[in-house]
Amino acid sequence: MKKIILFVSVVLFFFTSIANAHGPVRQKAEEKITINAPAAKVWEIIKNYGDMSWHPGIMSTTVKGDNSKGAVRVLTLKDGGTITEELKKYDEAKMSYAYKITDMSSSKTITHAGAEEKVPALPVNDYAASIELADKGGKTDVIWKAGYYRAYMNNNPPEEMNEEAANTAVKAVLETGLINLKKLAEK
Amino acid sequence: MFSLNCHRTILGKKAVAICIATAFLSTPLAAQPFAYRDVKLGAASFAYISNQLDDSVSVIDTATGGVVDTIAVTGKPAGVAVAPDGSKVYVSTPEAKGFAVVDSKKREVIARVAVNDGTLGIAVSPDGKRIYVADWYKNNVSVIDADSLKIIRTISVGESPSGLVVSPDNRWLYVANRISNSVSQIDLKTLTVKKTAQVGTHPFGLTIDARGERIYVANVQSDDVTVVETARMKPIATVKVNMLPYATALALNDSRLLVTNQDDGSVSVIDTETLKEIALITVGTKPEGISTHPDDRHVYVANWFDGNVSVIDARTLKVIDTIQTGEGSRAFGQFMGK
Repeated sequence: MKKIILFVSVVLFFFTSIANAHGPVRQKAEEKITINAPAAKVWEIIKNYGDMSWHPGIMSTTVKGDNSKGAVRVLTLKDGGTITEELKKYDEAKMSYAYKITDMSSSKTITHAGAEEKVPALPVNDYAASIELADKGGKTDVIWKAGYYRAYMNNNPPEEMNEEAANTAVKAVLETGLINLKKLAEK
Repeated sequence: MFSLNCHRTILGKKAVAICIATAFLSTPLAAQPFAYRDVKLGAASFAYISNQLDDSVSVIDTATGGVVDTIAVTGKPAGVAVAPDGSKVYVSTPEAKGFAVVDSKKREVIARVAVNDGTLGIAVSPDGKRIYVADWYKNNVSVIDADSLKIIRTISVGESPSGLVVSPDNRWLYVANRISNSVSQIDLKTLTVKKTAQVGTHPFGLTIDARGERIYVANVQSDDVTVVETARMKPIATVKVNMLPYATALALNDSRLLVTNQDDGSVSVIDTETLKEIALITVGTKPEGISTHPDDRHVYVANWFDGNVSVIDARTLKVIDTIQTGEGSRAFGQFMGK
């Protein structure tokens, strides 16, 4: 009997986690940096979707496809984790592109509310981001925006997978990336 | 205020056009007071924009194009439905497990109604007597008496019900079931599901034409809009739009359908006769809620990421104004009121 109850609750849990896909409140992050270099120079560094070597948190990038919609890149992080992202929009003229996370490895497994939870490499869900350059006459504004949900999609998240964890992690990714991009472009 | 002068001297369509032309030439667009929007209506009209990350609702006076008030609404306000007489605004608050009733004169919350854990989609009947609230978690729609604020009935629908719309004759309620890829048709006399139509992948926002003959539902996953004929509850067309279409609105005598493309930062415009996309208008980042002004011409779009509202002229297919609102503007539902 116990086994049946366990089985049923696991099945129910599985269904709820799908159904709740948009239950929690979506979060946002936006970081901007002004670089003392022309936009063309900055664009040259970031324009290849399959090359994210400008970001200090990323060890290597592999890509399927070119700089056009549908290209899929796999980022391998310094700690060995992977993030798979699909290019959703690419605009050479506007010097911008947008992408979405489609898959991630997990950084660890925790137990929460009696269930095992895999904490993804970036503790978010349904993550979409865009990066764009604005030519400021010899200088460049780089704007990096992201919209996402916390990693835990049911009620009462564990602290590793709540809004704060998601916001802190995303802010760090955007900030460290932009600081390094500035360093590279101003060389 | 030249536009007010225009207002008083209008004799026909020609005069309106002249006023607008003058308005465009005389002052920069952003600072433009849009009094001409009310030419046909002749009365004040407000847009109520839920700002989910700010726990507030911005009240836009469409005559001036400015936010005239910001109402505190806790519980992460998401869905909006304005009573037909404009006296009340119903705002779903998923984190407060229900919805808030806002008095539009006092501009404050006068009641809170507990419904369920996952309230998102909300609509009000054309006679103002009932409120319908979809529950994302419980897969049902609650029917609430607008006077007593008591739940009359709870109706099971498909999985993760989202957008709701009532037919203009107050006979049917249509519900987009996101996970079930379907639209339920609820008979409002018997309060039971009569028919269900399969649509595209993950339908979310929907709208209905003035005759109640067609519904247009945005499918977030399949990047298209399904057109459903209500008489038979059968899809009659699928129109490809852009990335992640979220919600829909009709304008200009139902001749134009406008669709927010959340991941593209744009609004697709569809000719409802040919059922082809005729324009793609760039708005802000992550556009979500969309509603048409009572003048049937200006369409308001809440840009979630930017925390502002784009105003589209459906005739010229241009963005004529951008109004700052608050963090996480969603305004999911019919947010335009008298």
